[in-house]
Amino acid sequence: MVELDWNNIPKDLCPVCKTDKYLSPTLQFKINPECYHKICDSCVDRIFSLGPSPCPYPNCGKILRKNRFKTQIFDDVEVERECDVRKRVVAVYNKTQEDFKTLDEYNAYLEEIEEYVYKLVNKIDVEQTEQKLKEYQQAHKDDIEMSNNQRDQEYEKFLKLQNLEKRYKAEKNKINREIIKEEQNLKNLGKLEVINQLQTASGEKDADKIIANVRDSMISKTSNYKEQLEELEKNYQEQRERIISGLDEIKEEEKPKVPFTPFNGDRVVSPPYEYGDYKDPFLLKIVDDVQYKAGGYKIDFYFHKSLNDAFTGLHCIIEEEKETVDQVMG
Amino acid sequence: MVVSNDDLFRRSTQYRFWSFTHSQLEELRIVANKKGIQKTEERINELDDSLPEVKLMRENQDQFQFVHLDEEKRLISYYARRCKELAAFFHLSAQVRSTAIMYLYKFYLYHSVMEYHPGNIMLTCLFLSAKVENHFIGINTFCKNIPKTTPEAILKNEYLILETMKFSLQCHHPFQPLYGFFLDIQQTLPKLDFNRLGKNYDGARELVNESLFTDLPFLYTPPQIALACLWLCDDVLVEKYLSKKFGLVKKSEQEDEDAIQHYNKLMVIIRHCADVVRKEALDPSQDESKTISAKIKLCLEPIRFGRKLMKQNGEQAAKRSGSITEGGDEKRVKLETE
Repeated sequence: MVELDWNNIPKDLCPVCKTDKYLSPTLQFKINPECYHKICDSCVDRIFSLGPSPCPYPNCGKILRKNRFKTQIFDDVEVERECDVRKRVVAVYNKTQEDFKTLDEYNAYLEEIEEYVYKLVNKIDVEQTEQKLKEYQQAHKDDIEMSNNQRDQEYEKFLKLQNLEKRYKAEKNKINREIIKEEQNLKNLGKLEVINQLQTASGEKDADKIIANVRDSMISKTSNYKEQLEELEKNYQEQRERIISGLDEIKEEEKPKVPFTPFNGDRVVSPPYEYGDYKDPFLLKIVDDVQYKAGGYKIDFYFHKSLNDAFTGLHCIIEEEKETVDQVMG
Repeated sequence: MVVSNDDLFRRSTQYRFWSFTHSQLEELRIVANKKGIQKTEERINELDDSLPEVKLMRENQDQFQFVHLDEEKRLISYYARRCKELAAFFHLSAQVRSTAIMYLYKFYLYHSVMEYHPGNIMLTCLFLSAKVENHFIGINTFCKNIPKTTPEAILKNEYLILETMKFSLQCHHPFQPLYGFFLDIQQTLPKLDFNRLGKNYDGARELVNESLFTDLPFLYTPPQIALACLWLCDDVLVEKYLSKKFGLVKKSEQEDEDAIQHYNKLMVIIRHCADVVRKEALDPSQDESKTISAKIKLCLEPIRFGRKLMKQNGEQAAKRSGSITEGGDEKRVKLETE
């Protein structure tokens, strides 16, 4: 058997189990960002299922974990590594241009990022750089989180806008198609009219009238469509602006909190009590308990139920009411 | 049309089926008692006349004692108390316990103890209420912990109880409203000392438990009973709270006639409730229950009454004949007297 050259592993071969991609096409390679040595999927399962183990490559010795393994995106391992490093650095240095007063400051900031990436990729002063990175993370913890949130929000907004545009375009296309169809019909009608005139030289007024009527209705239809189109355009612009300014979320919150009623509004909207902050030493302890939180327990519901129960039947005077009922029923 | 909270209560089965005026409640119990007596008489008449003890019984029929209305009530309360203890044994919540007790009382509005012994009915009520209130106990586990009973004996009565309940199983107890007032008082009277309120709340809860052993749940609504219990603990607090709630505090302004009337009506109810809780919560002794229980046994099996009479006669005869024969010879004496 030919001894494997560990420094020059063939591209489609797993060096651990010697399986070739040619023989088993389902073979997939995984790498671990600790050392970037490729290992096939089944080997990863086999070796690392029982917990962290050392890398099977000779002279590597890094301890690897199964959950860190990922599919290789770039052929070149160095590129892959740089991407990982960059991702890590940018997760910490996540400010945007709007956070800086001048462009120079922003550029300096970007420069700093590039320096860290370069040092980490090329393994220059790794420990020192890592230390700096950690310090920066600790110092700017809140900023980083806020920045992240902001980015999430921006992304959400972007998705919303994209959705809106998609819907708008589909609608617009539909109406345009209708308009084209109507115009075609109108043309056909013109031809029909000529034929009709030729046929009835005596000049039947009724036929003329009918055709004229049909044409009028067609025209009004097309103008109708045009109106629709305008309306759509207007709606689209409005919604777009609302999303951009972030108003659409506020609108949802402003919805009145009326309980569901089968006949819309047959319940008293304002309860007979004023909801406020309540003290209950026993229950409020439970509220912070993760065990109850996980189940979705909300103390407010319990308070509301108790308060509602307190006023359910408070003014029912059975002695009087039942007496009259008795008389009615005989 | 606007539906208020009170209207919601009027639609509940508790209001429609299980709320009565004083006289209606009394009437129901009298009817049930009469039914019990009638059933017992039927049982007596069905007995075989040829038996010697039956003959003797017929002669002394006027001595036969039916269970009196008041005794019925006391016996049911006795078993309601036992029900409470049993519920504590099974670590059941106040809700389960109270529902079971309510079932027991409701059952005996339409039946008499002379038809069904409350000792058995009580067990089924507790078993049923555990199911209804979402605290299921398996019938075997349930029976294992209670001496002298079988699953069949408990399950036998289950459908009968359900039917008597008119299949309306929901019970509204004053616990939740009491807690609601506990919260609302905090909001309405913010300057109140929290410890004072907490202490009174605990005391009121105890009283709510007591109120179950009275007729109050049939006569008043849960919030009214809750307020009454709280009033017993701290009358100043409740009156202050209610007058603020009804908008009676600002004396300078025109007082709303309606509000004052409402307030006064509610106060009358509260005072009456409180009176009942304090004085009428029944807790009969074991001895008392034993004597009533003995009566019920005779009603359920009248033939025992005949046997008892015979035994008495036999003893008397034995005494008269000089009491030579004792113990084991009793039987012979009995035969001689016949």
